Amino acid sequence: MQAAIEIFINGISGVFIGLTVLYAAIKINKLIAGREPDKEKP
Amino acid sequence: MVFFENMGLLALTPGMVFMWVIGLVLIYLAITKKYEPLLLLPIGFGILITNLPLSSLMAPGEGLIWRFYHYGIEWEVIPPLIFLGLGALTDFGALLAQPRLIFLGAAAQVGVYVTFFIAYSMGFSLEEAATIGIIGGADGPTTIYLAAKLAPHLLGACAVAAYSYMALVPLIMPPIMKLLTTDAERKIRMKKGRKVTAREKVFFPIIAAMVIILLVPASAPLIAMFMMGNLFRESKVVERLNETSQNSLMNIVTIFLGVSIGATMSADVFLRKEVIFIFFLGLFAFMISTASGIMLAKFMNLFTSNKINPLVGAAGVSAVPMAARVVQKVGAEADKGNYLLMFAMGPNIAGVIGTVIAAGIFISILK
Repeated sequence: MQAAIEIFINGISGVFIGLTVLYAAIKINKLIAGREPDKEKP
Repeated sequence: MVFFENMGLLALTPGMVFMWVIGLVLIYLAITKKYEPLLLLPIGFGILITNLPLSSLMAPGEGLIWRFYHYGIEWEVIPPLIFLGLGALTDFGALLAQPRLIFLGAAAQVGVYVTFFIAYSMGFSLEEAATIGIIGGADGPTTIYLAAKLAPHLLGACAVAAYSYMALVPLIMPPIMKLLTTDAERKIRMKKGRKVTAREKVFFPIIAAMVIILLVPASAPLIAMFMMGNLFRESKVVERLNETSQNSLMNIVTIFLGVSIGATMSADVFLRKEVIFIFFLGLFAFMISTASGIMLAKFMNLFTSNKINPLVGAAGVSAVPMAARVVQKVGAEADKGNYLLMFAMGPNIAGVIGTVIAAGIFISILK
């Protein structure tokens, strides 16, 4: 039972941590690439 | 006469005949009701032929379908290839426009772990319980991948349960969605997300693959293929690879996947009381996943003025894009002009990633 509780806690917290880091990565990605490059004038 | 002695007919058992009925029911549902036909049809046929006595199709080392199963699934080739195709088919735009919706995909994994715990309490081993729990993620290839690694004897039952419930999303989800939300909540109109640039879409699969694999290395085969497929799509420079991943390759591996899964369901493996529990627990996992996504959306609304329609949380179970379509339908019943589909696609895709992470965590602890 101890092992099951450990997997339960690790699993739920792991999924939330994983997706929180991905959330942060999306925010950083927006800062880096979120603006379309200025079009060159002819 | 030797001919009569070698007839399969003489080795027929009632269990095999019962499995024919199950196979034929799946074929019927696929053809007549159009329930996940791309998978239920080859699965149904696989069940039928594997339960024809003395055919040796699944005989280890010599059977034709055993080879498909061994090199395709046991060697972990087919599920990652399916993910390559899924990546090529996925547009992450909705998620990138409203990244906060990613947490709804995480919440939906609660059903996976609650069911894991219950299954273990009922006497299943840790590996079996993990395989049963992952059905709640409503992601067929991930379920198959995990089952093949942790509990191959449950692969057939878990895969059929996962695909059956995915097909039944329009029946399972709406009552839960209506039960947990008020009419006013269902009418919430969400603010349109910002415009996502092409560069963001190209960067995302690269960043996501690196981040997720660094955190959960065991998820690498699925995530790597998923993100590579998406890079093919968004880079717009390898249209041939993109097109092949989405169509030809996906179709080929689907054939081998379906018939191999069906062929694992021989009467002696499938006709056990544990299988009935698996179907009940799988349904329970699916329902809890739906509910937990909705509840997290309601909880997030306590802290924000930019409200989320809680129905969108239900799409956190993967089942792409069926779950998002159901959200749109239930939302439109409350308010005809409310278009939730694009918003629901965010948690829907986040749910796929969340389920892969959940599977990776199970593998890293149990394998």
